Amino acid sequence: MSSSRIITLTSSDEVAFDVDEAVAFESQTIKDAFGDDRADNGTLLPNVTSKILSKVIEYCNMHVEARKFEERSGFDEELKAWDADFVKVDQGTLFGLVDAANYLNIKGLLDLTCQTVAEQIKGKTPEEIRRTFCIKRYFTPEEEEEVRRENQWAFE
Amino acid sequence: MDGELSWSDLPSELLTLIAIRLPIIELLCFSSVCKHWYAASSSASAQIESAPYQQPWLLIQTEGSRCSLYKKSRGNFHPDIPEMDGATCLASLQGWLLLFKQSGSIFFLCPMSSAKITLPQFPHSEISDHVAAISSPPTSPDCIVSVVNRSDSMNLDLHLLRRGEENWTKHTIRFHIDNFKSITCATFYEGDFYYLDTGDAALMFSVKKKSGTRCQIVDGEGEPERYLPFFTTQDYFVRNVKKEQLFGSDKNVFITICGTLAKRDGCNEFIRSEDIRSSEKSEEEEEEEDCIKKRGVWIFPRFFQIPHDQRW
Repeated sequence: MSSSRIITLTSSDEVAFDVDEAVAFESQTIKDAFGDDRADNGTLLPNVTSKILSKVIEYCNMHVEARKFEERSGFDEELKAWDADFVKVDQGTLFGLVDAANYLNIKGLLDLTCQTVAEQIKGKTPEEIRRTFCIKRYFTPEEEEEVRRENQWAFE
Repeated sequence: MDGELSWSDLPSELLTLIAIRLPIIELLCFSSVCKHWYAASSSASAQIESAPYQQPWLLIQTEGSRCSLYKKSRGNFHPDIPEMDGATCLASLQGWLLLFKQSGSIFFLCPMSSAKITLPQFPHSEISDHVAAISSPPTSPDCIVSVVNRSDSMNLDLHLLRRGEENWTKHTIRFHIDNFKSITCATFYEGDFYYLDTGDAALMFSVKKKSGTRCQIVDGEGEPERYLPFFTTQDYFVRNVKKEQLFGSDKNVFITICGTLAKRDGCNEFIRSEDIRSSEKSEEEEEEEDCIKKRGVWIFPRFFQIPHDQRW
């Protein structure tokens, strides 16, 4: 097996992160971009800030390491617990992670973050959801009336 | 947080990834947040409600079009579903109900979305002991519906309708009333319809062979070909409903609940139809006072949307 190279990922605010190829390739987008092309060893990610990118790399590091311990009993639970802690972040960071996971095409992180958002929606009325996620109401008064009429029973 | 980005800017495809994970109540709240989220939820149908081992909800027709939707872990909700006004529920499968209205009108309804598929006129203008079963969701090309009732002490009538057909076909099956007392519920499994009575007798109707076989429900022992290929639950209500939560202060309620087939791993579970009394009084005592009779059904509530011109 050939020795793994280091790939430099640069965030939108020009912070450079050096990561192992194996870790970087958790992102299908990066994997597709680099493929077998050994000449290139870095890329700029204009859509991801350093704050988010460092979290994403932390996730990828953990999950690459985790594969070495797949066989160990109870490890599944430990990894799930680690994931649960990982997403205990503020709304802004969560949004950044969902966005980055989608842009970088990291399936595990995308599933984890989407599920986290879904969990946060549970038990909330539409108004509470708007407050949690800072959404302004974008319905015309007629649309709002119709939607409310159809669905109101679910949140009154 | 970066000042510019907000959840309102999240691309539709990501909002959809979130919407498809939501159970029914949350999905309805999600789609009521704003126009963007409403649009993103169009391909979500609360799939999670149909996942294996999910508990069904209990939908009760309370008065007119007013209904009650109940689950022990979620409490009671009160949707208004106009199509259910005056309708009798004959069967329930994966979020769809088969409903009958006076004078032979029979149709499929997804109560959460009000999506409706009308079937050809049913041969009987009234129903009595009729029990029905559905093979698959009415949107699938191979959906078959069967309705059974007792025509006289010797025979059962089975009316069959396949997707795309314009007329019901009738099959008469000899099954004496002494051996098959009253049909309580029905289901479909791998090409055959099963009709169960109050005891341990069952009728198995093969759609392919167009013939019925008598079966007996056995517990463990007995010849393998006599087994039902699913297990049945008799007392689902008692184990999954908190009476005080459901009935509140209503004293004298009598509910007839239509059963449904629940997905499990490997072998499915058929939740039988049941008659439930809210109080513990005996039948004689109850007849003296006013007893409110209601109809209910076990349902895995989904939000199905179908094209306007969807036909049977």
